[in-house]
Amino acid sequence: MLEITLLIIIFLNTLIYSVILALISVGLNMVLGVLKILNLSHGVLLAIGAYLSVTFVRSFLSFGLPIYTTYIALGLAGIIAGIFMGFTVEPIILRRIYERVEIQQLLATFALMLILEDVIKFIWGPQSWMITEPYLYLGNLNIGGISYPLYYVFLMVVGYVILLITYIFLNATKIGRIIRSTAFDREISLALGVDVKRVYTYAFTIGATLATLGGALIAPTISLHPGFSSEYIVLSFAVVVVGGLGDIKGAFIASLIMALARTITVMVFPELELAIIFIIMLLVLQLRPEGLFKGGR
Amino acid sequence: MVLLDIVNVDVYIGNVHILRKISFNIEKGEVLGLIGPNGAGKTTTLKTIIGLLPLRTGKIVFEGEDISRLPARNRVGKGITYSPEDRRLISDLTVEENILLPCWVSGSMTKSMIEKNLEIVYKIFPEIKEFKNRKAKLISGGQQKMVSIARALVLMPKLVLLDEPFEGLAPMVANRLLRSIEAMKSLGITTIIAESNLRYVKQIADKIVRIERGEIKEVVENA
Amino acid sequence: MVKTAYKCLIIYACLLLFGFIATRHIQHLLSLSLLYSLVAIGLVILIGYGGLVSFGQGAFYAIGAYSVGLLLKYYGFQNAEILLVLGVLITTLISFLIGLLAARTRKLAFAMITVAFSMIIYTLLVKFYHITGGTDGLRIPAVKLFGILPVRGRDLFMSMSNEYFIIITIFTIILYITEHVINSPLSYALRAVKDAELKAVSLGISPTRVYILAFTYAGFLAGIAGTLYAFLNAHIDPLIAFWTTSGEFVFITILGGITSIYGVFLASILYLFLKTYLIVYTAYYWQFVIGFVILLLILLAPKGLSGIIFKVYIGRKVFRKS
Repeated sequence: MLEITLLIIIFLNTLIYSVILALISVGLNMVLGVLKILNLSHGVLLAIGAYLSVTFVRSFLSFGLPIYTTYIALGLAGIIAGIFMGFTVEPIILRRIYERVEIQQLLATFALMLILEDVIKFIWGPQSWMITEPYLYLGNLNIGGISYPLYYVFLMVVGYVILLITYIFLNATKIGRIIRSTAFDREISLALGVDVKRVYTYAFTIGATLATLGGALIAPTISLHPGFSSEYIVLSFAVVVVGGLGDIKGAFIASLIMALARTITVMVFPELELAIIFIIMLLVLQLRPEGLFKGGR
Repeated sequence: MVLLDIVNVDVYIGNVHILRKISFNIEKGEVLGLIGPNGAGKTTTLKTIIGLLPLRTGKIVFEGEDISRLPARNRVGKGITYSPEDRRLISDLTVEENILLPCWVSGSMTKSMIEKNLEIVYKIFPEIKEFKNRKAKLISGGQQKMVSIARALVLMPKLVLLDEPFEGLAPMVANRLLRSIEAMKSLGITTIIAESNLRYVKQIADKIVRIERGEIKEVVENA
Repeated sequence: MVKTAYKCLIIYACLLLFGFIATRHIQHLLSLSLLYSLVAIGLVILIGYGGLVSFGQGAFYAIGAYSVGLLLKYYGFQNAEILLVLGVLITTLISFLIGLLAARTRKLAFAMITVAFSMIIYTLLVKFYHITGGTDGLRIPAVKLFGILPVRGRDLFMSMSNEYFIIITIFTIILYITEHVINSPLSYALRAVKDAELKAVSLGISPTRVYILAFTYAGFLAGIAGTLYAFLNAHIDPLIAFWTTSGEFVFITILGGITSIYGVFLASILYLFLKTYLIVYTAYYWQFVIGFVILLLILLAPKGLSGIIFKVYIGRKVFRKS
């Protein structure tokens, strides 16, 4: 009985952690695949989604709206933050560095990260923020005598739905397939009449929105403080490397692998909890530098 | 009536002077063979016409309008399409998705228009229908070539640029491609074929333009 | 090489002279700048000559610093010179080992390996808190160099602080050595590999071996800087291994023009003084200003500081990829 409980919890923890990793990494990888830029400021987008959720949830509650509406607030915050960041950052800054060498692109997005982090401090102040209402409202789930916060299950379900929608968007809509063709071959897409500039903006906005939605979803579970996102960005580097640079499906599967590795390590050797992810990353870079699942193209 | 007029065009890639004062024109409904050895500037010429490479001097006039500075997508909108030498299909998409891509991009085509054009394309290349639902990376090189040409035709363009369409094709397939190009011609589509080998082009071209080291050597009417 | 020796002596003399007049705070900042330059000089060799961008130098910096901290705490080494030598040896050895792994990869994969490595070091430092002190870090007592000179304090003439004196002395020696490395076959081999790897191979150069050497040397420099940092700062924490610290090093290198060791020397000083005074005057918003400056530099002067000079005096050429 205890083993089953343990298995269920490992299973849940893996799925929950993987959905967070996937939301960041799929977005990061989409931007990398289409724009060919590794966006170091991608993690801050997650933070912006999380911080905006704080504001939205707080104001919903202060208007006297019932607690269940805060879930709408989270979703709104994620989407608005993503669309806003997408339609500002890409046209204003990234568009100017597509022709530059890799290191300048990296440095430019690094600078963007520094700037956005301080913009967060400017708007939300240097103090910590918490919004526990959506988290507490759902209460706990009883799994074989162990109580498990239901919010995590909610987070997981919503996260997977978002990923599923993204998948369908990329595979079954016209724009989605145009984005994929631009990622695969920019020049021929140009020759087929694709407005590559617009595709870049869209792809970046979708990637950004995945990150901000991820931020909105985890906001109720953590204490937000300046710089909290710089850990998420390196985690998603690891995922992206393992899944293959630019490979969206690969990023998703890699998220699952990393999450499973972490969940198990937490139980067996907690000191290596995060290190394991980077150890896997290092191994994959050594053994299969193109990522675990190359052959996508 | 002259459809496309190329006047004194110079093209550089980086600092390398590739095309030197190129001039030629093509009448509406003609098939033009652009013949020259590898590295002569055939691909550069086609890429300049479609707008993937900028020209430094000279101009390109299409239907009486100077299109030299238009981005590629506007040239596509005016009715010029391009099938590159190395096929360049989007390998993760299916064959039919590849062919439909330009229609989705154009945005102004109705569903019935798209279906009608697709029918015409399948009439020109009936064999594509058999593997239309396979991933583009899973079909043979010859088949990919056809799909690449079909992709250029689906918009029913006024001018098609084909880069080395016969290269590497088995004689039987090449002959069928010849018939297909004739079919295109009967639809009123003007075609420029860049080839290093005169063998097939001679059978179909109305006019042959010889290019060597970035310069036009001769223009002959082909009887 | 006599010229190099004179150059280094002049720099040393200037730094010494400065130590007599500057306040201790300024000396501290300058010392820190010199440590940053040491790391960045390693990156000049790696990025500027070799074309490999390492986002993991912070890890070697941290390994140097923590070697000192842990050896002091658990093994009771009290001689600064032994700690220094051991710290540098450990770091160099580890950078050699990581070099073995990383040197086979290029470009983004190389950057990623170094990021992965530095994050492993970071998470280990944080999670093994019962050994490393976790995010609280470690305190480093002022041990004595050669049994006489404490690594921190004011036992020298006038306002010269011990740590400043030690750091400028070692810095100058390393500068001299590095000048030789830059004029050695290694650096020519590196440049050959960077420009045309296949051609270099046909000339009998092993790119992997060259990259391992360059990486180890860069790690060696970061190790020296890290050990000295432990002495200078009296307190070390895992943040120096976080990837953003490595990002700062990369930024300084690019600011300095990527291929000039004197460029990065000036860039480190500029960067650290700017950062320190920005923190003083803008409190929370120094990152904004720095980020803004980086972005402007990249958009307007892609060749770094020397690029600005180039732009102002020579022409308005904007460097692009093709």
